[in-house]
Amino acid sequence: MFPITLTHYLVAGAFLFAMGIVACIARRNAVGILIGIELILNAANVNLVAFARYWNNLDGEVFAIVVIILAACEAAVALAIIINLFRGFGTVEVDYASKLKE
Amino acid sequence: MADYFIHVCIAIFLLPLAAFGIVALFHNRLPRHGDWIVISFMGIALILALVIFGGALRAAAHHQPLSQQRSWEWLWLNFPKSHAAQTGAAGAAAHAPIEGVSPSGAVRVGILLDGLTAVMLVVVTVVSFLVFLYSSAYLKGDVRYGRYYACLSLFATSMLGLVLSDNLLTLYIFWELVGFCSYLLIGHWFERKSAADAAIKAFITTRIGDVGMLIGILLIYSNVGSFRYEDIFRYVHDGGMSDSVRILGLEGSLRFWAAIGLFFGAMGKSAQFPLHVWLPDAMEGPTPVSALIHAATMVAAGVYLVGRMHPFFPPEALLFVAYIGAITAALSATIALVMDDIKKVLAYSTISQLGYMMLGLGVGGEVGGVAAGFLFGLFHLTTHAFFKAGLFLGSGSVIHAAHHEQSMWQYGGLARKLPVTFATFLIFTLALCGFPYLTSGFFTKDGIIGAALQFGMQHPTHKILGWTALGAAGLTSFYMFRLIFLTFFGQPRNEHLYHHAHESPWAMVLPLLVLAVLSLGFVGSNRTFGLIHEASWFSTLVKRPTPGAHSAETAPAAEPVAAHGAESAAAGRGSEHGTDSVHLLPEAHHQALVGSITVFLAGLIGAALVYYFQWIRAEAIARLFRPLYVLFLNKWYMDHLYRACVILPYLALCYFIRLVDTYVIDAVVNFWGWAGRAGAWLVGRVDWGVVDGAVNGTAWTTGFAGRLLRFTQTGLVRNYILILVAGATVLLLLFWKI
Repeated sequence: MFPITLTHYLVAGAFLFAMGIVACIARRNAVGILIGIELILNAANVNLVAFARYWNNLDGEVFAIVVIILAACEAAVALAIIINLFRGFGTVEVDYASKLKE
Repeated sequence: MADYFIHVCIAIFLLPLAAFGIVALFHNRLPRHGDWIVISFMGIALILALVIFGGALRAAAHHQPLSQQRSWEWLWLNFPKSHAAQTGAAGAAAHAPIEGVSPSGAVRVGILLDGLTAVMLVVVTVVSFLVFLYSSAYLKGDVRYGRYYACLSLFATSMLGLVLSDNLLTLYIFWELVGFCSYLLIGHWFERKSAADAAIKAFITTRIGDVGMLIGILLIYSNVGSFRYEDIFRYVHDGGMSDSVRILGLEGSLRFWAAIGLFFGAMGKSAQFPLHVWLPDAMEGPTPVSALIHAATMVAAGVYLVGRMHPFFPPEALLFVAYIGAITAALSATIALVMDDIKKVLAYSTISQLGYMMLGLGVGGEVGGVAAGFLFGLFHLTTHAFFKAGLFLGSGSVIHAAHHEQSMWQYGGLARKLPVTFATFLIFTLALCGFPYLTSGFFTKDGIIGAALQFGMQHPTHKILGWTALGAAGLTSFYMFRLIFLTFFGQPRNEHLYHHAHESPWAMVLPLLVLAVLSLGFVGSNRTFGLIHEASWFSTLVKRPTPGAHSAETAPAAEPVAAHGAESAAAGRGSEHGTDSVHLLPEAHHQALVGSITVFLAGLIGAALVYYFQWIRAEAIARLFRPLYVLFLNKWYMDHLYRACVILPYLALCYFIRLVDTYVIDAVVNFWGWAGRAGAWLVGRVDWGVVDGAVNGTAWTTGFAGRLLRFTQTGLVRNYILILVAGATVLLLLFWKI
């Protein structure tokens, strides 16, 4: 059994971040994109908590709690946008919501 | 009493002015274009004038000649009060400040009512009223009927203002106003080029004279400091304006030159040689206008001016007046001999008679002159106004009957068709020619001729004046009877015209009858109004204002009137010359009487022989005196002379100025215009190429960048995020510290 170091957490966070980015870029479904953003935020949380543990203080954890609160707000706002999107276009495919361009 | 007459004068002046205002503004809305307003207002003015005339006669009968004055401050001019007083010229510096010249420099204007004014008021209102009445028939249905009556009314106002003025300033204003009305009325039918030209000619010719008059007035004002007659007379009586001035190589006193200046105005207005050329052309106006303005009233304004300012005229200036008058009388009489147009004959006759009046005034000087000349000059103005207005109205009646044919060679035998016109016309003609004792013209013209003859006796070098007057009287008789015979006697020369001729309506005949009555002998006789000792009613009314005798006139005449009619004024001056009486010397009177009756008969017989009995053919005479005939026919080449000496040089000058304008001024202006255009073109190029280029380049660049960048604007959030990530990655790689 090898010890789990900071690097492991960081790699896990980077992986989560990359997952989130890919989800944002590749998915057309707005809910999917929202989930991708949540993944990105949580990747940051992982990093913050890992660094807090590494430096042995609570600063990072406080930040992580703030981010979680932020994520909750963001999810509420984003879901509201998605509902409106659906009402307006009859779909949650973000590609249809390119009205400014057309 | 005093105020009463002045108020009546103001009413007389305002009545036609009010009529003018009403008719000028509302004639299109009034029935008959408001002619009844003008005529009735003038009728009231006529009655008021007769009231004043009666008052003046009554006052004169009590040896208290009417002389009232009322003046008001009008203009405030801060000119140096008296040029002479400032420079301390001899004679003038010692004078006390003149009364009536207020220290503030205000110009007083007002009304002067004396015998002459009273007579002139009657003359102007009578002739105006009759002519207004006559016009209502003569111009019936005219295109500018209302305008015509407005002009007539304005004219009457101005003429009345002219004779009521007590100063040269308002006289000059009204003087110009009558000239302006004359211009309007001559050009009444301005569609005809000849009428428009005649109007301009009349206006400009009289204006040339008026320049002299203005100079004279300003000379007087700058010396006297007042425009009022009595101030002026007192000033010159006390020896003012006697500085010697040299103009055009001629030495004369300032007074002389001012008088000549005033007389220039009179020459223009009264159509005296050489400024007479406008009057015959003025016959282009309607005939009633010719009667009113160009025979009876306006042209007499010049004579009135000289008469009014008579005490101002020094003897040399009066001699000039006399010679101009004599030349005018003779010259225009010769032209009248050969005119074919009935109105032209009368026009030249008018000029001739105006010459007589000037001659009378000219020889009527206070020093060495014949007082009767002054009197009869103005008296002739009065009687002439009536019979000459009558002649013109009569000719208007003939022209009306003849459907506006004016050549006498188209008439003939019209006496049978126009009996009333003929009878009155004959009376007017006899009055003009001086038919002994029965007509007014005889007395006055005889008086002028007598005065001129007596002047010749006193000054043998000037004998020619009297003989010229006598000769012109013979010519007058000849041409007037030529007119009568050609028009009214003989066989009709134009059957068609004769056939259609008819007597005029009552509105035209009535004025003729009234004027015919006023042309009869009683007007000029010394028995009218119960006067035996005076020369005539006129001489009791009209006295030459003499500053020295001022107190003698206003004081009750204590001295008994001598049996031979020495007036109180004459007594005040003393009679060392023995000519101050209004009566002529017996031998002069005798000569004038015999001479004028002789030439009258000679003219009558001559005309009868040629044009009635036709024993002598007119063509034969014309052939015999061909050079003279051609000279007369071309009006002594006066028009040609003016054309050659004035009009052509003037046109040449205008042409030259036009050339300068075209080739110098226009060239400069055009050059600058061209230079401006070239500069603007250059600046325009710069604008296009540089400024616009920069602006457009910026805009194009921005647009191009936008066109490029719009490809990245897909509207897909996922693309943006991709770009974001790619960018972040690139930055990460760039700043990756290895």
